[in-house]
Amino acid sequence: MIYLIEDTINGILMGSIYGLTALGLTIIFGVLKVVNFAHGTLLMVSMYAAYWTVSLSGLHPYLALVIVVPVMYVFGYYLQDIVIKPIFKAEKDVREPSTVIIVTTGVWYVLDNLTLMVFGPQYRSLPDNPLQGKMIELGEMFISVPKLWGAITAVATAYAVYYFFQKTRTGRAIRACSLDRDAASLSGINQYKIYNMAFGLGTAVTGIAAVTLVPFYNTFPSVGVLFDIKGFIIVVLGGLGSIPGAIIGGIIVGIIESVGPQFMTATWTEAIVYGLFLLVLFVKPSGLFGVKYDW
Amino acid sequence: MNLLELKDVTKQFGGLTAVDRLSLSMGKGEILGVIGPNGAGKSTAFNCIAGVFPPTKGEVVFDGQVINGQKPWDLCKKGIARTFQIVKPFASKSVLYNVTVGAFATTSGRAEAEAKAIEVLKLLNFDDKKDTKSSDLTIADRKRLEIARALATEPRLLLLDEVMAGLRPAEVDEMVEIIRFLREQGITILVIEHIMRAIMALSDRIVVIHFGKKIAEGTPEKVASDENVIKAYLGDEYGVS
Amino acid sequence: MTGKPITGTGDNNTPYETDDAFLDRSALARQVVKDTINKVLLGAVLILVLALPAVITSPTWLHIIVLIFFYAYLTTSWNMVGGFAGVLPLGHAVFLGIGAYTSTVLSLQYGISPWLGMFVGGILAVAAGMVIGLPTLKMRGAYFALATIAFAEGVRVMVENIEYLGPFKLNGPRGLQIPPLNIGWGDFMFSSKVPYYYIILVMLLIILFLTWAVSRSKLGYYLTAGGEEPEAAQALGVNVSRAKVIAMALSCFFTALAGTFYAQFSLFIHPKSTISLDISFEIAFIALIGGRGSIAGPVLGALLLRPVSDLSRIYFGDILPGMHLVIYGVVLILVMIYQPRGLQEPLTRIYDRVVNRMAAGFIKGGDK
Repeated sequence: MIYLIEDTINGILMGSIYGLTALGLTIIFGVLKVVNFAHGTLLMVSMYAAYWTVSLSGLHPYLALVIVVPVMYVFGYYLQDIVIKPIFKAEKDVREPSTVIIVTTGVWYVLDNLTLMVFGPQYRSLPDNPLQGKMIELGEMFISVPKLWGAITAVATAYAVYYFFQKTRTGRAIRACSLDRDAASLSGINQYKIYNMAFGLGTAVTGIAAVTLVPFYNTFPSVGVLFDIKGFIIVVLGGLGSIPGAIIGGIIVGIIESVGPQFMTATWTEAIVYGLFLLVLFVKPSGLFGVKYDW
Repeated sequence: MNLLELKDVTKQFGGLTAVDRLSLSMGKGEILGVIGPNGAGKSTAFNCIAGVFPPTKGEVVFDGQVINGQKPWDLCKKGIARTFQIVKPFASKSVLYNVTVGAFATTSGRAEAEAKAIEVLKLLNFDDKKDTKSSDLTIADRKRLEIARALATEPRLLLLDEVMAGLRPAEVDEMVEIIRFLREQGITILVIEHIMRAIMALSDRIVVIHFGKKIAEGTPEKVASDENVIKAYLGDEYGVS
Repeated sequence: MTGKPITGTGDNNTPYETDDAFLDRSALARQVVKDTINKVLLGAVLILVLALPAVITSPTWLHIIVLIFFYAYLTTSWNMVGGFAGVLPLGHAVFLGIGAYTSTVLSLQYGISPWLGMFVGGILAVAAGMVIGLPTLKMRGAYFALATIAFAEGVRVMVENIEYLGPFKLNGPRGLQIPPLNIGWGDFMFSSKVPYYYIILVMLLIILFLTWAVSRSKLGYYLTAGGEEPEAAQALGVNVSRAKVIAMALSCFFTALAGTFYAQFSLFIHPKSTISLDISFEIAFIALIGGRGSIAGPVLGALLLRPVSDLSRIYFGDILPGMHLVIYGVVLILVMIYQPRGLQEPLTRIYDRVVNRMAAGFIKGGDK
């Protein structure tokens, strides 16, 4: 029983981090109405950025935020501006251009394999850092410290992003653009700039996720693929475009992965997650928190 | 017997009643115009007939059969065709290809469908453009393509959604001629239109909708002089309250 | 020119030729010559591919060519739903896997010939395709793509985790080895690559013919219409979802047949070599770069991309792993931005221009 509680708690913590990794995906979908297949790759790039920042400077891992977040914002901003914008311009009338899926998949393949060529296939973990392997003892239970930090960061980030979209002028302009591209551009909003910013924001948030992961998770070229597919599942569970949905969806996946092995072999939990994903897709494609949309 | 009949058709979206107990009927071979200010519920009523969504309440009867909630493709096979206000050509394909898609509604053979499509194009004096890619057409030709495609499905009832919007006056006149010609072929036609001149000249009868309700009905002359109609179009202060 | 019209255009009645009639007839003549050139070229290509194993005797090269045809076949199958129906399936390897496992299990455990197992696999793949397609083909945009990925990955994880599916031995992640005991046509097993070459060639020709036939049929028109403008298509009597489901069924069936071929060709299958996301994506990439929705696109894509992948694996495999995938990615991005309808479009234009010039040359030559 105690293990069940321990696993549930750790599942919630890890799940919140999953949610944070998927948050950028949902932000980008919410505004651009496209699924960014390069999302996991952006996480991978962020993880390398965080890894090198921390291991070269020897700073506390979370101080890497100061570098990783702005770098990834700029990276995302120009990725959208250079690679994806031409597609939007060519397919003005299409609401959800499937071409964007393809182009971002291309970005995924290029970046993943370039990383493989440059850094090699080895798994990298931070040599020693203040968070590594730390545990809090709660009676007989052990709670992972870096995961706790990550979960707190996840919730804080989600709240900040939510606040940004609801309360700030820029946030509202972005939301207006996501509701109606044409109307927004008529009222003086430069929709392509908004897209760049939304993409940058989504990527910057992914940078935050990477910083929370690096202290306890290995960095390697194909690490993104794991989070890519997990991210798709999480955002569909929570509802594509929903910010709280991403965190809740992440927690659901986290709990299944953490508690599941009590009852079955670990790999089966993966199959259960896929099954749950398909079930949600069939039964309620708008997800738990998504708005009903013309499916 | 009436070809189309709407009995107390109501359509609500959430709390909003877009169409409110609308009743109307169309005899065979008639041209019925439906007018009303923007947002009056014309398009919603149109979509209820065309099967885009079912009415919340009431009945849509086509040829003696209740067709509530039937899908557009089934309605098409029953003999109801429509055009779209915002034209939707299959852009990468030729005019002939576009019309052949419609012709497949009545046949399964390609040769037969293509022959039928060419026949329709000839009928509309459009066959010289049969090999033009539909995305290269002018707006007037696109509207014509909409009609040609619909016609190829061999409709008994043709629903035209603002086929004249965006056309130049000379093109409007041409379109009026086309619609009249179609009626001569025995097709019953329901027209939603904003261009008063055209709809007055075209329609046998006109129904005026305002806030989802029918406020007037009758011959073009009668409707044009109706007090409620003038009020609806010009605002309350001009009416007698 | 001789005075005789090429077809009965009826201008025998006119005392002299008008310019229009002359233009019509010369255009017609050019068309006839062009058709002939097309047929001759097609025939030449056919003879070339039929004679190829006589020229290329190196097993390595033959292997590469077989794989090119194999991918051309797979992509053409994919194209039925991914191209014509305008949706984006990204998990097609699952149907390949179903085909490979079905015929292999049936032949290993029950001694049923893979030729028969092939079709059982096809039918199972259709069933699986319906499970995933019926609920999701109605949805728009990314959902179908995501669902197909999740389905394929889910099946892969399951196959990796089970030794037995009921009475059927799948052998988990270790996969199934096919012992080369009964060499010969009846058991779909050969010691030379040549029979495999001819089998995949015939399969490819069949699927190409079928695609051509579908594209000219009511189904093809309905798929294209539904893919481009679903609402307009529905108003014209097209049940768009049903057309997509039919296309999906066809696509799944033929993809599964390739699975049996793959199993018999490599004599070893395991989850990662059949139901892999990499294969699913590669198929989609080839189709998109070649030109989805066209008949030539998938073949062209396979011809252009497969050698890149094989050669870079051979030559850069050790120093630069993943090189070919970088190339794929870059080409894909560039094609999508500058030639969104795929490379078949500019290449068809060039081909047409060449044929036109040849036709003009022939006509001029004939006049002299």
